[in-house]
Amino acid sequence: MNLLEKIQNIPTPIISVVLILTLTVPMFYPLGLPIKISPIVKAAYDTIEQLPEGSVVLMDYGLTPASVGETGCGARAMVYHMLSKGLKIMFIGGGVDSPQFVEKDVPPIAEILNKKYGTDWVHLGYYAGGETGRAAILSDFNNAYPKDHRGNLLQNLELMKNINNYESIDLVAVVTTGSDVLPMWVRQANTPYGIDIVGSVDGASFSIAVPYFPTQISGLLNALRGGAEYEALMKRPGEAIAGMDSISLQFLVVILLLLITNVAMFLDRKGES
Amino acid sequence: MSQLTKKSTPVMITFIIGFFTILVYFIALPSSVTEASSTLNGWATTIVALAIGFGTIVLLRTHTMRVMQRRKGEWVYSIVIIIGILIFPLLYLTIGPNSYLYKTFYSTVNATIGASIYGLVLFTLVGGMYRTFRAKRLNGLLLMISACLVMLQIAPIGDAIWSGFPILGSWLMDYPTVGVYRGIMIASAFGALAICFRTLLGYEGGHVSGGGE
Repeated sequence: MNLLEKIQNIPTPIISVVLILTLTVPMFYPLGLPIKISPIVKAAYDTIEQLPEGSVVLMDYGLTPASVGETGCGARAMVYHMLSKGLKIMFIGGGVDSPQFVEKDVPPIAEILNKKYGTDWVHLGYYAGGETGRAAILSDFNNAYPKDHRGNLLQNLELMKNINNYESIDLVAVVTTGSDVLPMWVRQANTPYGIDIVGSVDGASFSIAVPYFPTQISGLLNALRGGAEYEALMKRPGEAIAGMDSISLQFLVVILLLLITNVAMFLDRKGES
Repeated sequence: MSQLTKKSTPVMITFIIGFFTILVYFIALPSSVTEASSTLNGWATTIVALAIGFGTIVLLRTHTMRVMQRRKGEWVYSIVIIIGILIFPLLYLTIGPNSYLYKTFYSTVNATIGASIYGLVLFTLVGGMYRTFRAKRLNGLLLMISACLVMLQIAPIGDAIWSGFPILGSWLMDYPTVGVYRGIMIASAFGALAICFRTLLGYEGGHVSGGGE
């Protein structure tokens, strides 16, 4: 096997070791590359920033164990922003894992900001039914959720006393890795009732959600990059900004691999002919 | 039950409920009617929840059978599935989802396995990309260049290498991607509308006894 053939057949374990190194080294020696803010993330930030204190946000917190690395940072940054602005959040989840992530992520943020459960935020829990389930929630909260995730009756929660349906909702925030979830909210919340929507989605769903910006979706966070931009906007660096150096090096490795293997293939073919 | 009743009853139910739910969106109707529509939406949530429960029972039965039959190479995994299916509902019903034990079980088993599998995908994905992404033709080359530009747009290092990379990557995402997806969405929306009318009128028989025959 000549050198050109060897370049085209680098063993997978070697590639894996290089990837592990590019993932871990920036954690100890950060590159500190600047992050430019994209208009779509700025728009999401501004939408939340412009809401008056006391506005009600319905947040579909659709994190899963697989997606938390990509969309979790953006979701937590948005929750921090909303609660620090004095917005009221109702958490719901269309995925079976959602309730666990709400209970894991939100109480620490609420504690830092001194926000109370039942007054500043509530967790309504999992709902079944996909798009029809979302329509049911918006048309009647009490019918869709007689009790919250913690077993309290909705009428006993101060935040829920004056909230019955979509009329009380000022913003829908969606965290998801399902490419069909944001379009569902567009159809059920924005189109019929004109409710603004912001989202934090994974890279694969971003391409499907971005055509709705800026008319139906007011702003969008693209995976970890979107989370990093949001953290930069809030001037509160967190896990997303820390992770961007790893992303930079990993993408660079992927591009270099593609480049050298294709150049080697081209030279190899040229030599043969 | 006759074949006619078996087919016509679901079609009738679909037509009445579907037509009623759609009507509420397009015509201003008295509040009693919209409330009835909202109740129907609530029923849908209950039906889906029941379907999930039914699916769990079927899964449990299938794997119990495998264990009882000691199917070679399968029954051990079926035991793991059965334990997995039973343990979370049992903990949920006995000590609740906010208990320490339930949360620990979730975060140390389910969340850890899910995150690990997703993490491992990176290596497979990059390995696969390296072996298959060869620009043998012009369209392959264009695809590879587009992928590299989008990666350089997302990663801050792209901007550090050359400030034009994020601009090119953004252009790709903002114009060709958005344009193509909008076209696909509008076309598929028309398709969905056609399927909706066919289902309401009983031409789509997937949910009716005997399928579309």
